Amino acid sequence: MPRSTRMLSEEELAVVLSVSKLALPADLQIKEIKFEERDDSTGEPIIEVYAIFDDAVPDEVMSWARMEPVYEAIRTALLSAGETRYMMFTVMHRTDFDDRYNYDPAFD
Amino acid sequence: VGLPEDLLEQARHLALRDATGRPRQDHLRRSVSTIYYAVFHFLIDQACRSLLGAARETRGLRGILARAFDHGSMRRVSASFASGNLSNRLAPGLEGHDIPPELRRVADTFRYLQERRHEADYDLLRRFGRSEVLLLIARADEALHAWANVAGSVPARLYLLALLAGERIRE
Repeated sequence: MPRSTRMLSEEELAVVLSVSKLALPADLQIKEIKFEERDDSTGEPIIEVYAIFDDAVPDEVMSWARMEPVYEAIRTALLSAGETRYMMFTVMHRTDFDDRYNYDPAFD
Repeated sequence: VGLPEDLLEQARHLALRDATGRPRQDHLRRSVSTIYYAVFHFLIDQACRSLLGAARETRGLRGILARAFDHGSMRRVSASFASGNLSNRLAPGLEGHDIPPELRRVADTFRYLQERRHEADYDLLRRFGRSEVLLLIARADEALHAWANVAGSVPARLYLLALLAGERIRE
């Protein structure tokens, strides 16, 4: 039996995923939370949520062990709001985020 | 050290090439793809051992069964375990147990890495950063270690069964 799905609007997602609403620990140094609604490689609608760090933040600070509470907070917030799309949680430096669709195989 | 650990080591080697300057995208792309296959082969090996036993004499059977897994089915089953939203066909198999967080993490990591692998292999606009790839390696490594905390449990055995047959079970 197919699962029922509910998709929050972009405005609703912006509220649910606002840093102040998520009450993330300040010592995690997350600069910004961004999200992207899109279809995955199989055509399934998903939400990708990005936790963005300044470039100077070392990778160790962004480790999965430290990010897991953030992932859980976001996952719980989306589920509580009724969102049923799969959520991809991605941790990135600012430059990697800005450049993520910026590859040119002919000149790079 | 088995194939999954070797693949993660190779992924790390690729990500850390070009130590000075901008890393080459072909190295990072092959690294991302290799990370996915480390987890893919890890889960298939665990499933085959769970279903057939780990004894040496089952090696041939496990090798044959390993070819029966399907990436798409594994993705969908992993998404359902990651979200905790199992189909009516699978839910009774939990026998009243909750899906432990470690198992959800493993399932989510597989689902996540499959999407990244697809981008690395086919999306010619996608650029990967070295630190992004190193974080993916760490995430996969942590998932493999998390597995040790749930291996043999009812939910973990159900997950392994479902990876192979979850979508073929009739209601």
